[in-house]
Formats: sequence, C-alpha cells, structure tokens
Amino acid sequence: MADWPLAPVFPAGLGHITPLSLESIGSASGGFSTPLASTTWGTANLAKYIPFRISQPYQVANAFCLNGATATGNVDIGIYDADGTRLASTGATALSGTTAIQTIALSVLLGPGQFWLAMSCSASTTTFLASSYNANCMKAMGCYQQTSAHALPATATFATIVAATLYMFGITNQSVV
Amino acid sequence: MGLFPDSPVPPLVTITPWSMESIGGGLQTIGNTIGNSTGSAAWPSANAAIFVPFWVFTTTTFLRMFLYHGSGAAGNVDMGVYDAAGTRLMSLGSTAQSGTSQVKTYNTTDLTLPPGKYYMALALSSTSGTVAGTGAITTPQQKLLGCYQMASAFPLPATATFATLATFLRIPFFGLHTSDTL
Repeated sequence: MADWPLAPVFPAGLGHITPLSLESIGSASGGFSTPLASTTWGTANLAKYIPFRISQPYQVANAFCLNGATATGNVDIGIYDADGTRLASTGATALSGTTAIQTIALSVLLGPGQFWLAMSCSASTTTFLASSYNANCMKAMGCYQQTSAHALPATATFATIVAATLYMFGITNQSVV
Repeated sequence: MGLFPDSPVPPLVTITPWSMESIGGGLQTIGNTIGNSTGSAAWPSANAAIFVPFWVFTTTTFLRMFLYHGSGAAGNVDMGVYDAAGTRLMSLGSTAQSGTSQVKTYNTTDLTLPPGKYYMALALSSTSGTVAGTGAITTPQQKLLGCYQMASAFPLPATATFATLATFLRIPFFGLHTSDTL
C-alpha cells in the first residue's frame, strides 16, 4: 500500500498546456468545437481567460500562440491565479510569422492549483487558429473575457464571455514548442 | 515514487457532464456533439429526474448550479447534488424556468464536498420545458456512462431511487460551479 493516500493526479512533464489539454477544458470542449481555422481576434484589446489546473509543480518555460494568415499588432500571453492576480505575462509582443506557432519566453514556477491562461491582442484583424464555439458552452466551461485589457492587467476583471471563439495558445515547460 | 505526496487534481470553475470529473471522456468516445438551439430538446417526462455521476478529487465548495436552457421555457426546474448512496445533499427547490437559449445560474446553497463520488441531478415539471444537451444517445450508451433516472422526482426527493434509464435520450447540459457568476 502506498504511504500516501491515492488521488487522481496529472503526471509531471506533460509539456504543453492549452485550452484543449486535459488540464484545461479539453474533455469538455471536444464535443462542441469546429475544426481549427484562421480566425480574426475580432475586438482590439480584448482578453480571454481559460481555466486550467495542475497537480504538480510546473516550471513554465515558454508561451505560444498559433498565428493565422494575418499577424499584425501585439499579443500578450499570461497566467493568473485562481483569484485573478497575474503571476506572469510575456508583455505586449509584436506578432511575427503567419500560419505558424510563435513562441515567446515566459518563466514562472506554478504550484498545484487552479489558474487561468490569458491572451489579449491589440488588433482586431489579427488572426489565430481557433475553433468556433457556442458562447453559452464557453460560459458553462468557466471561460471569461475582459475588454480594454491589452497589455494584460495586473488583476483580471472577469466578465461574461461573449465572443464564441476558442483561440489556440498556451504554455509549456519545454524549451521547444 | 516521489518524495512528496502528489496533490489531487483541483476542479476547474465548473463541473458538467462533459468534465473530466464526470462522463466527459465517455461522451467524447461515443461521438457526442452539442449544438446551440439545435441541441435543445423537450424534457422527456414531466417530473422525472436524471442523475449524472461526477467525482470530486479535493475538498471543494460549490456556490451555484447552472442550466443551459433550450429554446422553450416552461414549468419549473429543480437541481441538486446527491451522494453515492442517493442521499440528497443540496437542492435548489422548485423554481420557475425562465429565459431561453442561455446558460442560467441558480443561487443554490453553498455546498462543500469532500473527495468522493456524487451525482448531479436535474428534474423538470413540464415536458414543455426544454434544455440544451447532447444529441440522441442510445439508452445502452447512457447506461454505460453510469447515469440513472427516477420518475416522479419533482421536486427532487430527499432520497433518490436510482432506476435504469428508459425515457432519457439525451444528457442535459447543467452543472455546478465554484464561482459566483459565469
């Protein structure tokens, strides 16, 4: 018998955490989405918050986003704790490269718990690979948004999500995405 | 083995039938999809309740329950949580269903659950009331997922009698959340 009580845990070293991950809304989102396509951000300076959780310490090494056909303006990717306090962010970073993953350095050590992946973009015409969702489903999965949130604020103000699009971005403990 | 005990998986903001903590993996495996208003369906039997299993891995306090209303609202709803033995731990009570094609949050009594297996329960008083949910799933598949039903369960009873699924063809989209709002 183990020395410690058994409980479900996420194994360490899984690498990337994105909205599609088991750590995030992956299991819930799989039945709701359309195939990924290049999709405009839609609202300049909008931020989106996607919940995720981990059960072991996780050393974030990089953030990344999946750029679509148009890479204009700046992006900011960050991590917030469960209370909405920003733990780390890339800061406003010029988008570069189309139809490709853009990696941005981000370093923070996360302990077990629930957090938020956050991304905001300065330009409404920028595109990222995304899946079209039902806004009500995103709301029910615990996603939020915030307007006028670029660069990402020190404290998130979680507002009801309106835009029904799940953009592909994330964090990783790997040096290469 | 590590030197320190692993921490249990904390919940996300919501637990729904699609969550890892519930039957989400099973729903994906059987090819479930959910639409917007196209996923709306009438409650199959007045006063019947459906029970969907879920697990809590670490002590969690839930502040609210929610229901994704379909394209038509009628009658009353009741939602709640039962332990694995079928004892009701918390329920909303009979509440008028109002609002269509929206996720509506209901202010239930705060409920702190220690790790364990539970059931989220939903009952409607009228077959004119609609909820969003899956497309039709065969009854054997729903049974495989560990869901149960109870006829004449409105408002939700203090003790559930888990019966084999017969009248429910869809898993409704409802659940619990740890936040004040969605």
